[in-house]
Amino acid sequence: MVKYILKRLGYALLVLFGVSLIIYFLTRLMPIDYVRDKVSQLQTSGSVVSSDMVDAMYASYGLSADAGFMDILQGYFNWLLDLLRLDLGVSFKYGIPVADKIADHMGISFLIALIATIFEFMIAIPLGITAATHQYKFRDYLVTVLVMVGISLPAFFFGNILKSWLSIKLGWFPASGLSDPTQDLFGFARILDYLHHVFVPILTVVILSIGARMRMTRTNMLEVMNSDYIRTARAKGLKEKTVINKHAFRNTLIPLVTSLAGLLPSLFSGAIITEQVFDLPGIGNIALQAMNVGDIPFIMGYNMFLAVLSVVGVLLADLMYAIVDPRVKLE
Amino acid sequence: MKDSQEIEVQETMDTEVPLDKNVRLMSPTQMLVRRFFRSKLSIIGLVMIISLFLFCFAGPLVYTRWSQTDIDKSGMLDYATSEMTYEINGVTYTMQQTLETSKSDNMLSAPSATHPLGTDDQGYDVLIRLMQGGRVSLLVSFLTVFLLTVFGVLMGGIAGYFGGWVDNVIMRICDVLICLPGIPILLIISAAMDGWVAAGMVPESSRIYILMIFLTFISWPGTARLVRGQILSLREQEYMVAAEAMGYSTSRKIFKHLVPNVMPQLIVQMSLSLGSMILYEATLSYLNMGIKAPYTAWGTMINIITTNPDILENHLHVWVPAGICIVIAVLGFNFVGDGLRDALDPKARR
Amino acid sequence: MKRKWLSLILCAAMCIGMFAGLTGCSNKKIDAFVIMTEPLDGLFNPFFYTSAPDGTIVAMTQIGMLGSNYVNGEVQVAYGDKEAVVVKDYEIVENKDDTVTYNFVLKNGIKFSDGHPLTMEDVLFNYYVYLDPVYTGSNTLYSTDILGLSEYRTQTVGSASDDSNDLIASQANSRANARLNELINLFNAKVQASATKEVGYEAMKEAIAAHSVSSGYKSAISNDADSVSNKNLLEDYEYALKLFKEELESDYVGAQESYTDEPYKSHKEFEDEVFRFMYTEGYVEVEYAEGEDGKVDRTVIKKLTPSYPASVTTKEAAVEYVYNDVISRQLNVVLQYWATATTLMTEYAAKAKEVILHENVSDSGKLAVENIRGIVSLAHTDKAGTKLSVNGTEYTVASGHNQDGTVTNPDEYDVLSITIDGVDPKAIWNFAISVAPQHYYGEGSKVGVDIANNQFGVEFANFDFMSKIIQSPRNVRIPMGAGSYKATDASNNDAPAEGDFYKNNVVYFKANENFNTVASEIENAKIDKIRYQVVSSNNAIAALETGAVHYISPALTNNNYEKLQSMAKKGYVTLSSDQLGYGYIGVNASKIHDINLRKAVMCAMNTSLALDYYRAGTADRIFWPMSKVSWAYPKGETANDNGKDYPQMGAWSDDIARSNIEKYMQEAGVSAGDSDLKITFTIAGSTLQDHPTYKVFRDAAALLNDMGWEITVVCDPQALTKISTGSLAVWAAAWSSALDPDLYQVYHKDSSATSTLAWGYNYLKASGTSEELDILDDLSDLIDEARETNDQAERTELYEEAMGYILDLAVELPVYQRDVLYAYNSNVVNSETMPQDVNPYSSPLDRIWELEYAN
Repeated sequence: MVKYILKRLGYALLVLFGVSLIIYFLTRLMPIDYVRDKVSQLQTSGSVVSSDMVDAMYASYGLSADAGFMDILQGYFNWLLDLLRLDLGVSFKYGIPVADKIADHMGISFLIALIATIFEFMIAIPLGITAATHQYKFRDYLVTVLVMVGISLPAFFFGNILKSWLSIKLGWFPASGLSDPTQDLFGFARILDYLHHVFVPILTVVILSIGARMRMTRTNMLEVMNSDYIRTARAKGLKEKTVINKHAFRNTLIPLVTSLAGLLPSLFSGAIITEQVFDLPGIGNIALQAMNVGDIPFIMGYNMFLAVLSVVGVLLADLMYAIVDPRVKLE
Repeated sequence: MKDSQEIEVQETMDTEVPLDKNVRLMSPTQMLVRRFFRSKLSIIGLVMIISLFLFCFAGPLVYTRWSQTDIDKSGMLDYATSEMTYEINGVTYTMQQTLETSKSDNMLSAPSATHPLGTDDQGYDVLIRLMQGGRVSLLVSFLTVFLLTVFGVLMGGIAGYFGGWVDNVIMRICDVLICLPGIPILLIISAAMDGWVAAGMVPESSRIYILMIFLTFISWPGTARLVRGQILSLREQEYMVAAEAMGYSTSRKIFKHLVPNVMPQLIVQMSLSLGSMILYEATLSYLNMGIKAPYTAWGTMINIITTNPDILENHLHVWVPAGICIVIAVLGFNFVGDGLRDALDPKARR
Repeated sequence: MKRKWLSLILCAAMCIGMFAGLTGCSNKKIDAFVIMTEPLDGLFNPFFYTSAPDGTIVAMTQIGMLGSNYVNGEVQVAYGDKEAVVVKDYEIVENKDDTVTYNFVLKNGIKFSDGHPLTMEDVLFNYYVYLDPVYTGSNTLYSTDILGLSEYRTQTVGSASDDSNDLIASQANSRANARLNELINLFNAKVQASATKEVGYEAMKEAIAAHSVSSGYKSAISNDADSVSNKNLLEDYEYALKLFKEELESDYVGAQESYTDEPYKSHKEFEDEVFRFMYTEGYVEVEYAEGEDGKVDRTVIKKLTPSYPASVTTKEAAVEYVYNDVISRQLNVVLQYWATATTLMTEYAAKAKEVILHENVSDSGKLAVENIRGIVSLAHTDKAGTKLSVNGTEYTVASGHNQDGTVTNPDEYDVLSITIDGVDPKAIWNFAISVAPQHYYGEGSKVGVDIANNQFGVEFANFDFMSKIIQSPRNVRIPMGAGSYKATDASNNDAPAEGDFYKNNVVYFKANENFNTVASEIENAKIDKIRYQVVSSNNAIAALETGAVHYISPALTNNNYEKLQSMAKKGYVTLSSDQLGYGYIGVNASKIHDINLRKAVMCAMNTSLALDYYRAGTADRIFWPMSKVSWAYPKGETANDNGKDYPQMGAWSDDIARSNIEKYMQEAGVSAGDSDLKITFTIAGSTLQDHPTYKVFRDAAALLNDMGWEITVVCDPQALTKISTGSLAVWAAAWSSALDPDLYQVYHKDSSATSTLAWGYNYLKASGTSEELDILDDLSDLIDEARETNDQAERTELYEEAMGYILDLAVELPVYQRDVLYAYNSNVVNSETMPQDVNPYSSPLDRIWELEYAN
């Protein structure tokens, strides 16, 4: 087991190295140049920018005007060396260290994602089991259709509809933001205020993700229900409830567990669109803005963070698979 | 007396119906079709998809009054009302002033005889845009999913079959591609394409296709993993040993024996991905990376409500039809996918 | 089915639980006044903020040297005891030697929000940061022609003291020699040691790798001796080789021109290119004929024997042969006598000079040029204690200062005197910088503050100083100054932690209790707590309506305006004013060479279509390339009639447009289908249709395509960058105007600003027709004239004429002028304390300290 983990970690490092190289080159090759954009902004507001000033600006950001291949490679190695010193650099756009900026905003995104995921599992799995055990009956159709509508519409669409209905027309919830700054709130009242503000965003995310989870549960459940050992259990005379909840459900968990691998990065990446629609200070929106202006330290820091999480997630899923399913052997 | 008894028995036997004519034999495809149509949802799904296709591809041939880039310039009147208060001799008078201006294009007009679904905020006819946009949406998702599957099967098949270092290399490439963040890459390619379009190297209408093809190149790992997993377990089956013993070539073994057994799962995944591709196009256009004006697709048509709350509330005819079409398409693909999967499940009841 | 019930109960719990927040929704008490802001970057540093929303946040905590007031259609400088500015009084004095001096009398007794006094030390600190050569923020104070500024920034001593200049030059030369000799000596040593008397490329590289460079070499390259190694020597070697190869190649070309006369013409060998080159380089043995007197007669060549192999027959081979031969045997000659040597010496000398100048800094901590000649604190000169007349009042210049920088005698004043070269009506606005505290932003600086000894707290030309001290994490996250509000956190602490000032999309302010020190007639802010909430513009009106914010400045779209009008009854007040700026269409002369074609393009534009984007009455067409708001915009009859064919006045007529276009096409001599008629129209932005000028382009393209042109309309998010490099042919964008309508930067032919690249000035100056060049000259003359006077009436006339020329040049078509919108909830803030009318030069929140709650 330990040897396996070590081997996988070794591969993981290789993968991360490759990913960082690709992302860095892609970002540098983007036609967006942070310094050049800043210069042209200054010029449209009527200021004179001399070429010495432009050179100085490039130098202060560690970039260069016409970067050739070797310049970009040089930049990459500078970044890598800083990374080994655990220094993610200072964000061009936000002016503070990348690590600090990510830490500022990660909390909210994580919390929303976590709560939404918990609710998603709590609602989707029972629904999936119901649909599977009553296949082709009315219950199956009803649940399927309702849940499908949830995944048939894009996030921004749903978010806006809910916002316009619940927040603007009915006025039950705030339309945007994370807190109400018109009042000074402390302690429990403040927590309640936060919950009040994130209710609609979480609702959006939950509705959108129930569908996929439910269908996967239903599929797995069906497969399990048609297997031999279930038929044996029934033949043994066990109650239907025991058959489903004790034998079938446990075996459904196996593929569910492996899907947790993809869950880890998604908990931290932030729901870009939901955050935009509801003006939440989450990491997804911040990262998108940084990508739009070519803020290289931030892009690299954020994406490498997610890449590490992906790799760790996959490793964990493979390990969990081995633990949960006794038939699987790790080589 | 023995001979006549024998003859009697034989006659009786001849008049019985042979076994192989008693049981109706169906080919696997026929079985599939029968099981597929057993679920009502699958039939509904199929109907939805077929009618959408007819609507989008045959519709414009019938509805020729407007083309998707025609702007209705018949003009519209606009009213601006403002209140003014005056105080004369201590008495306050309120006056309402109405300014009538005319805008040159017929924008946001309600459904009428000339425009069955009205016009949108630029003056285009909504119905024809719905049809033409549907062509793009459906075409793009089919193209992407097809490419995705072909490439995924190829890579997954090779990885699963050969194992060893080939498998290792391909899986590591998969890992790298999975870790690559989708949005920055799309941003970069979209920005690069802005440059190409501006330089005239690429026509504007092909932009979305190129974007989606790039999307394929970073999405195939999912399919490849699936195929590889299946093949790993199928590789050890007896019929493969037999094929080996018969001396079949590698490519024949992979593509004629292994891959067809992976097909059920693949078909299901393909039909489910079709739905999500349509949604992906909508999200791309929300992030300003998708279809650019004057062309359109369904996702772009519903995007308007995010920038224009007025249209969201007061001009439902502009966005609701596109939203309904998307829902129908995604639901249809999902139902068909579910039905196919249920039908292909060998352990299901006949 | 326990699990199913569990999930249903959870569902219900989630729903019901959240409704708890609903109770007490209405009639809630209001603790703070909340203002909407666009998304923030969080770079709250007065020197380095880049985005406008960040600037608004910073401005809450700062005060400036001067302000601006809009009175009777004029923009006036705001100063004195009624205004929240640092300057008590000022005067502009025109001197006899064509320089202009600005005298600013600073107020006494102003305190920053932490209690420190605001003194001349802070004022000079700010100026020296903005004028530092490595300052890369958004303020362009350095473009003002202050006396002694360029000398300070480049640390080159000008004509003031020629002696030290010569000394430095000769020092630099000797160091450059030392650098060159390093290579020469190494080469010579290796050649001596070699059997074949040659040192090839590889051998030389090995020799360099084994060599350690001398200190003389190091001192020619960098101040930091440790950073120089044989790596630099290798670079020098490679560079010298590269230069040499280039020299050989140009020699080759040069050789072709020679040898066309006697005695060479008669020798057939000279017809060969390679031979000529080899002859020039000395690879041909020449035997001259013998003259009558037995001496060698060099005018007659008897025999020519090439001493290079016959296989050398091409240019590349020849150059390569000579190159390899020379560098391995005669590198020392190359580095001393060939043209390469001269180039290297010049470059090396320049580098050495840099090093020497920097040494002057580190030697005694003193700079070669210690201060900016044109910026003087009069109290630190011999004028201390004397009386000075400023703007009609007599002030006594301070005679002494306390430890903390304040004047000892409160009846005396510090006076800042800035002198510029020539008249510049814009300069006064450049000087109106905000004054940030030196003890806060300069904390940790290695340079102290001692004005008499030219120490302003600024480390000269030091990137680390700018990025680590001025932009330290605290200085970026929490702004501090003498403004009406100061930074706090959600619990209203006086000293908030770094991450708490801007947290979860909310910025927290509380009233600065030292604000009333800024002027005798100003009181502290009446609203104690102010918050800024980040709201994207789509959500602005919803946020106002639901009471999440109390003040918004939404985008001026049709829907927003209507929505706000309908909310007026509930007490939401809307204010609008013209925006300071205008929208235009630019046509690049370097892409569309013929002036008639440019005029044709302009005639096709129906600019009234741009107004479709805005609410009726909230935008106007303009006919001159200037904001209508500016005092220099033509008034009266010519306001809507610029006398040219474009833009069409009155209602649009397709026929008139067509006939105009045909007229210009004929004059240009083109007809339908010509390649010149293939043009791209670019909209700046990421969406095509969501732009006011889109329809103008769309219809113009349709019209022109109908007449045989080939126009495509695209949108480009990188357009602004491309405009500034002059790569777009026709584009639509908008200007935001400055306080002074001076046209120099953008339209003068000598302007060094890259804005002129957008119009194609570089093409016009190089290959324009005489008509175009005349227009340019006349235009530039008018702009110069207008800069030399401060009389507004005169300038208005001159500008009208100048703008006529701009229109004649057909590079800019003015399109529209729009309004800006503000809205606030009068149930929360007392509308009588809000300004009743808004002008384009200010926002309603300019005097935010005067606002009061409604009840």
